[in-house]
Amino acid sequence: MKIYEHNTQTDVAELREMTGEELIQWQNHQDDEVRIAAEKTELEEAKKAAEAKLAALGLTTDDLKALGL
Amino acid sequence: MAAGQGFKTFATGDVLSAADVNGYLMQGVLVFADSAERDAEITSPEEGQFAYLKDTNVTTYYTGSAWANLDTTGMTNPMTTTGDVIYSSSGSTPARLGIGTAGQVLQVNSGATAPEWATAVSGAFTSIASGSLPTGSGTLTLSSISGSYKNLRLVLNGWNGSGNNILSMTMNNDTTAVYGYNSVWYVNGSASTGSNVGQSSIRLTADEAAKSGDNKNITVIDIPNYATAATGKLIQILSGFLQSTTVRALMTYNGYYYGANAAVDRLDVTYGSNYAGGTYILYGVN
Repeated sequence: MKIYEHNTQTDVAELREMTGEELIQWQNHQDDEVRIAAEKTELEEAKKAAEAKLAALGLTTDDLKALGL
Repeated sequence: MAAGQGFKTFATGDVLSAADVNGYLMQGVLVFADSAERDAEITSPEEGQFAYLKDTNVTTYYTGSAWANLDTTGMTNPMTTTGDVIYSSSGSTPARLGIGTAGQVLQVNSGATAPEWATAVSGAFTSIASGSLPTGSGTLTLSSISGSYKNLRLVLNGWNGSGNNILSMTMNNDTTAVYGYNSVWYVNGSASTGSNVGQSSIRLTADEAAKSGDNKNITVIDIPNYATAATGKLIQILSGFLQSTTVRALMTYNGYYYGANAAVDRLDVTYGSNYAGGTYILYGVN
C-alpha cells in the first residue's frame, strides 16, 4: 500500500510503501467506512419501518411536524 | 625635498650619499611645531611624504598637490549591547539599532529613512507545503511540520477520490482511540448530526462526500495552537461538495485530539481509495 509523504522541511515529496503503523491507520479507516455504512443502512431501515407504522395509522411525517414532534 | 626612493639595506662600508640621505633617511615622519613651520621647511614636498604637527597632534601627508590630515579615527563603534545592529544614518554616520523583542521582525520605518524592529503582522499566512494530491495513493502525509507558527490551516481544493469514501485525519501518526468529534452535515436536502469519541482518527467528511466525478470538493482544516505541548488539540473542519448539480453537501466537524500532549509535526489525511485530483496547501498562520 502506498503513502504520499511531503516533508515540509526539505520540501521533498515521495510515494512510498506504508510502514506497519501506517497500514494500521489505513485499516482503521477502512473499518470506519464499513461501520459508517452499516450504521447508515440501519438508520434508513429504521426510518422506513417508522414511516410504515405511521402510514398504517393514516399519518405522515407532516402530521408529526404539525404536532411539534 | 627629494622624492622617496623606497627602502634600502645598507652594507658595511657603504658610502652614505646625499641622495641616500634625502631619498631614504629623510622619508620618515618629520615633526614640526605647526603647519607653518612644516611649509617653511619643506618647500617642495613630494607625494607620500608625512609630517606630524605638534600643535594639533595631527599627522599629515602630501597628496601630490596639498597637505591632508591622516584620518586615524576610523568608524566609531556605536554598539553597546548584545544583539545591536549598525546601520547608516544621515550622512553615512554609523548608528545603533538596539535589539528588538522576541518575535519582532526588521522593517523600514514610516519615513523610509531607517530600519526598525516591529511586531510581526498578525494573521499572516505562510505556505509551508503545497502540491497535487496523489493519484497513486489514498493517504497524504505532511511530515516535519515546523512549530514556529501559531496555527495551521490545511486546504484541500478541488479534490476528488476514485471511489465514494470518507476523509479522515490523524496527528503525529497516532492511531490509537484518542479522537472525538461532533458533526453537522447537510446533503441534498437532509440534515444530520453526530457525536463520536474514542475514535482512531478524526472524520473530515461524511460518507456522502466526494462522489466521483467533478473535482469540486473543498475542505479546510484549522488547528489552533498546534505547537503547544501542554494540551490536546482542537480541530475545525469545513467541507463543501458539489457534483454537477445533483449532489450538494456542506459538512462541519469540530474535533478534539486527546492523545499525547505534544506539538503536531505530522498530519495524515486518508481517503478510502486513491485521490483522483485536486491540490493541497498547508499554511502556517501567525
